[in-house]
Amino acid sequence: MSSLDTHAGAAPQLGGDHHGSYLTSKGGLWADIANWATTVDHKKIGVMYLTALLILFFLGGVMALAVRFELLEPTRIIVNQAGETVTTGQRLAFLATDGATASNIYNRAMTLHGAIMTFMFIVPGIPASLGNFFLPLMIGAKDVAFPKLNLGSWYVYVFGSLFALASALVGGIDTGWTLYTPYSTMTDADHWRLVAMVMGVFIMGFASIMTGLNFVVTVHKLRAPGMGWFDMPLFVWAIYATAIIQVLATPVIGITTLMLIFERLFNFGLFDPRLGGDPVLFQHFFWFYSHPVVYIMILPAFGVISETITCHARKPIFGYKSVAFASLGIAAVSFIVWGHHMFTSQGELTAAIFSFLTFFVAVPTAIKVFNWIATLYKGSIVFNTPMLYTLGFLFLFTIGGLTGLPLATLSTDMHLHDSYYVVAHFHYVMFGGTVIALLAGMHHWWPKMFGKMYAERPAQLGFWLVFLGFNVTFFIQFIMGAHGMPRRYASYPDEYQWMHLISTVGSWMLLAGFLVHLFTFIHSLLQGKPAGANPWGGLTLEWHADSPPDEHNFAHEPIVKHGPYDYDTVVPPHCDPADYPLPENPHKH
Amino acid sequence: MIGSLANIFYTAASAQPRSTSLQDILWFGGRGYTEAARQADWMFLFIWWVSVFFFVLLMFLMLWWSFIYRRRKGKAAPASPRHNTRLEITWTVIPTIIFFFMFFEGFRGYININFAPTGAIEANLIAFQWSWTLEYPDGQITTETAEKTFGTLATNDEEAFASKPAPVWYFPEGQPVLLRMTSRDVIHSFWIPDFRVKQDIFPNRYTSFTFTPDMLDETAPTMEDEELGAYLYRDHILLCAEYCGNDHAEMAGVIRIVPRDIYEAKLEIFGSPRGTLAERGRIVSQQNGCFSCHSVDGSAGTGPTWQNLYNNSFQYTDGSTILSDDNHIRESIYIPQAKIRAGYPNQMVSYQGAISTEQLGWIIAYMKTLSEATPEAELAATQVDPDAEAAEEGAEGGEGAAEPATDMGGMMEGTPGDG
Repeated sequence: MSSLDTHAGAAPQLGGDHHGSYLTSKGGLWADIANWATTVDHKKIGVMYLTALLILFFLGGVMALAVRFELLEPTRIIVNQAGETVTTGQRLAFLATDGATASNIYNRAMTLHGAIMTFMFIVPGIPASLGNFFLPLMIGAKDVAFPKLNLGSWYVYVFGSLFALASALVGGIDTGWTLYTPYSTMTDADHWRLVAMVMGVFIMGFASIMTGLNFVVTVHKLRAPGMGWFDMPLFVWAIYATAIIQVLATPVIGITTLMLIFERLFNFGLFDPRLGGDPVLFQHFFWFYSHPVVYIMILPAFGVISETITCHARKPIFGYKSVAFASLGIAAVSFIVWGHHMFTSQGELTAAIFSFLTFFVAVPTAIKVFNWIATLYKGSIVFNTPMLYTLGFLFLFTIGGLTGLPLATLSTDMHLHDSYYVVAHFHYVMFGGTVIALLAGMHHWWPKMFGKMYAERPAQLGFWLVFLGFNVTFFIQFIMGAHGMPRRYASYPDEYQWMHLISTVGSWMLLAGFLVHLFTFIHSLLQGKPAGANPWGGLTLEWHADSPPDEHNFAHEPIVKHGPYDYDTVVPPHCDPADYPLPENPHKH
Repeated sequence: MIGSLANIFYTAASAQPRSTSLQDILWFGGRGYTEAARQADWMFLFIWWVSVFFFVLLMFLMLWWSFIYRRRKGKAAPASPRHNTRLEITWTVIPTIIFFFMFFEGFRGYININFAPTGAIEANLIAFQWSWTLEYPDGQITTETAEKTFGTLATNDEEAFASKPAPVWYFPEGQPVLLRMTSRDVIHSFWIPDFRVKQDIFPNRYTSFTFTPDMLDETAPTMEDEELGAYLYRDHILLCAEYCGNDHAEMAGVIRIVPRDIYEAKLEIFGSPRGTLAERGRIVSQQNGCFSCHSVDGSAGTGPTWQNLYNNSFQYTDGSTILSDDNHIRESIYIPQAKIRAGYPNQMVSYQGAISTEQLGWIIAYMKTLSEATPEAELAATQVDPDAEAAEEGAEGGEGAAEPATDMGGMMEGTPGDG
């Protein structure tokens, strides 16, 4: 029942033209470094992206911990028993040099957290790491369409990140990641810190465009024989929809950042009201990119969840076509809803139009959640780490989606805009959605990527710490925001302290959870048990390859003979039919 | 470290939340104090309960199915349909209808929020880093600040305050108010959580903000005022909601709703500044937001503290050491970028046109009282009879306390609020 016409019979991956795993050493450390640095293998590039992303995620996380640490206490002026006036609660003040205050440090940490997490971690995120590794495997290709462009994108991305981090090293900027004018053109005597950060964003945009272009062509041209559009795994659909947005939206942030640099250095007067410019114009430019980019972040997560939920519930996805078209629909509508970030800064008519359009994004998103949950019906569900993260995703993302409704509704957004409610909402979507899905995907595909199993029990401990820590950190922020706590405040009224305290304790739980995962991953690389080619019983094509895959992925070009989710009719490759019983009367689709 | 953490827990526990009941937590943030706020609350609660319904339904199905369909070794997942067009259409159409309703109701509420009824008090609001000035229709500016804006809390017998004083603006109960707002520097946002509204403030255009506060009711506390006697009032915190730089978090204020006669009496008082020159200097400094960057008690801020500033010498970024005398202070207020104190950012904007020559003299008199280096500190503070008529005092006081300022000034007009 194997899906592959293997030409050569029983053991295709061990055929005569076998090159060994992509991880096989080329002999000696320097040879390996040279080999990885010049590789055009999509798998190595995927691993290199993953490594860079995790380092940046760590840096962004440190900034987040610093932000939460400062918010343990508000700044207070206290008259103590000795009658002295003392300022307390400035917990980051010890980092301050030359006249900077704790709030100054806080503002830079908050900006760096946002800039690193969005531009450097979550935007490239899943497509560049898991997408690079698995997209060609899942469509049965040897590589992406333009392998050298792929390597180029990694170097561009790293170069751009270094540019932006250089800005942080010489003091950082305090504009918030949104870089709103005229604050970003007026603040901070040192031009170069701002220019370096903005140039970094500009450069990283090219990496995003290169990746997107590559994936669009790959999906169109390199699908294995027999794989029609509706035989593609949904992860491929999601990455494809993402790639379209990357190609179409990213040039806008490129031109916006250039305009900001010109404004800052040469006083162009596009955004500066003193020169006749309009600061709101910048917001339009910025969100024209940065709203579609929200879907660059979340669509790949949808793709991962479609894979993990089917594989670990051993069920065909419910409503394949509606999930696939929902991805494309979301990608299309994402371009016309940017104005919902600006309800408080535009006219009534525009606000009404954008509010109306925004609800159109909610519909396909809701449909996807319904489909995933319906997929569980009559499944054969196993509770391993990828599945726990998948269920965790459904829990958190549903909260994230539903709490978006009062933000799309005009009368309630007037209150909630720019409050902690918004912070909580987008963390539930971005962290509870994308990061949780990335963790689901990493655990799901880890055995395939490195050929080793992770330790299941510690990984599940990590899941519970991350899941609970996340909720402790962020759920209270909905309440805090609804009660009037604005975002980006280094200090705050006393009445919010108990809520900030809960949130900060939650951030420590999150830290513990991630440390556990770091431990399990390193432990797996060093001492993990060998994973078979198909430890979960997956049906998509990557499970036909070896673990870790052969340098050329497949010994022979696969010919697709079954759908990606035919769990009710096909025994997975490399698996014993006794372990994968099939139902007697499968439904035909 | 442990002790410090324990102290934080203790302090957090002793801070009183404004609202504690479950009802209040489900509600936006306690009770709404305008008709528009109650409409927004209704909308929020509607969305809340719809969301709770769907969330509980979805999570119940997810957990229930995960449980009853958990994997059993050697047992196949039973066959089940891969799609069901009728079900899929249903779960597309129902959310769409609900979303249309949310949009429509939200839009109606938004219109109510945004359009002022006729007969509103029209006031101008100017926002700047990191405070705001509100001019009443006849040009008065408030002289009152609330240092304890956010309530005091007693911790280990110490008294703690929010770090910066915030202006208090009086408005009469039940009276529509329309604020015409603009910014002197960057984008700010005006948010009164109790009214459920915020509006961005831009440097290059006017935006408006309107509210009609409820009448005072039996829940309103009583204010004991030495001059005006006892009256009912209600405070609403307002905050800056658009990130605007270093002290963004300190940009706050209080809207105080009072009976109409109290409002009118307060405007009368604001219209005629009284007190010693130093006292007036303190008020003018407050009105212009000086204290959002400059402390008066020696604590750190974006700008140098005023404590022991007057008649002392400091190091400047160009390497020079300059004595902070009357002339230097004048220059620092009118042309702040001329000389930058070492260790501080070049951030202050010019107050030429905002602070009149006369007011400048008051500020210098005030600074003297903050400086131990000036033996005349007490003298300056007591120089003028506090009961004297305000209008006559201006010129006389200016001469006495700040001669150089009056010598060089003259081209500046006082703000309408300086009486």
